[in-house]
Amino acid sequence: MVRFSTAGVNNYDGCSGNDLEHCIEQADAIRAVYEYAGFQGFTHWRNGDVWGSDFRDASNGDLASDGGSDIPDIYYYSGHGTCQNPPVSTDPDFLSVCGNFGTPNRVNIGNECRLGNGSGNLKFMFIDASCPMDLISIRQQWFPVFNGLHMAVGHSGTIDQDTQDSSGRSSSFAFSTSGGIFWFYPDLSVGDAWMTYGTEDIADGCCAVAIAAGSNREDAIDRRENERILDNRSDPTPNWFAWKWVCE
Amino acid sequence: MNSDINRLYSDEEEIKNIREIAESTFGIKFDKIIKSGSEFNVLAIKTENVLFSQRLDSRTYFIQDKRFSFNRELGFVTNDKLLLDKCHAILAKLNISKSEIRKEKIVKEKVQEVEIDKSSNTLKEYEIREGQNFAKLYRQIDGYPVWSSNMMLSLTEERSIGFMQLHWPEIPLATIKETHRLDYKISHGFTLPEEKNSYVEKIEAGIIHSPAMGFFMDIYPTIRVIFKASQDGGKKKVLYLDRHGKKVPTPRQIEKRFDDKFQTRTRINSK
Repeated sequence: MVRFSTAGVNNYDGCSGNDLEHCIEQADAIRAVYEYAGFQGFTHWRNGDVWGSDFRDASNGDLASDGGSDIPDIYYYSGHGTCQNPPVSTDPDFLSVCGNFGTPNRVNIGNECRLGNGSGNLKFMFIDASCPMDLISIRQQWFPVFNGLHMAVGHSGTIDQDTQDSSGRSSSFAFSTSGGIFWFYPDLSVGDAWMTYGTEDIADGCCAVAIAAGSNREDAIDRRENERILDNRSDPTPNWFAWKWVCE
Repeated sequence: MNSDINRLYSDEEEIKNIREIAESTFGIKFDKIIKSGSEFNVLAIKTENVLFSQRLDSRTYFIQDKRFSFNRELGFVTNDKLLLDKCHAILAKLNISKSEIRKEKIVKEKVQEVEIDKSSNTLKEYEIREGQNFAKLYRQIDGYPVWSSNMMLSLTEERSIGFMQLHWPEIPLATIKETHRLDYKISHGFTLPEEKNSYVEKIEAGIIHSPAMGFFMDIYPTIRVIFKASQDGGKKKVLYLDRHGKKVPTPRQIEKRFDDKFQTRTRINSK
């Protein structure tokens, strides 16, 4: 049984960043589709109940039984990230929440996230935020994150070439990755689904990015191109990374 | 209703019609059909390799050939003209005017791999290569963007369609008229909303509707306002407003079968 979590943050009152409008809708849409498909919901926190600690390996925050991101098989986040203008290869990637606990709110992905390690279980990390997967720094930021994780998706951009607060992007992604129960819709791999729907409502110059780890080159490429949520593949040994991107 | 007219609306006739559309408009060649029929608001034919489906409530079509794409049996085409010509031909067969194409481009996927050499703790980089290409068309009506409509199409090396989503619903005249009114209002007294920590980057009138995959087809004329964060480079907030400056409903996709409005999280960990 595939377990998944969703997290959506619209309310940034008192925190760094403006309020958003559609992140909770997007997270709800993922939840609605995946639950319809028979996936089991783990946690679905919204606004202040999404904590920075949920994403941190330190002190096992990401293994918290009430919301750690490394507990389910899939974790979807929609909210703020942070863009540089433009990023350089040493710049960090971020998630930025506005939690009522578990601070600090800003998570440095490369330094603080380790997914699939220890008793961690996460296989797919879907991030709908500003610049959480910048191409120029993907090696420094994302390679260390993969410790059993299969794939992650996000966007690469700048302050101007950024992800917009979309009202429709996530549901299409969810339908097409839900494992074929909606037999009348295309059934896509995670990578192909993000290349197709991840460019909806993003500014020109912003890119949708999907990355996979593999034990060898063929494995990494195969996962990047073909891995589906219901494949039930074993966790990869991250000797190789394969990623792809499309830009608006 | 006499029996001839009755027959026109039979299940068999419906599948026959969709098959004709698939073959004549989109050039689909069906091998052995393993499933066909309707579910929710979609009518579909599926073979071992090919899916063709059409929404019953919208001018929306999907095609997928499992053998298509990077490293797969039928490969993919990187010829820009071929991709765009195919899109134009399909739109013409569906009587969709070229004047409704707001913008068209070829989206080119890039792929790359890196090996971690653990003995020397270094990275071995491989060159960036081209992945699959697809044509992407954006829509307008009377010069106003229809943001939620699109056409995405890729071809196999055999020039058959590898993947396609054509989501181009018919828009009511009343919606189009109201969009004109909204455009007028933007420059005649429309009060822009103020948002903390951000400023208006762009404002324009257009049309939104429910996404291609989903069980509803809501269509709204709207003023779209995009905000840019004043600091910290966060996600760009987007509001869709009506003529009174009120938010239009978000076009529906799927019914939510949950309501956790009153759930809050207990702080069980001290950090």
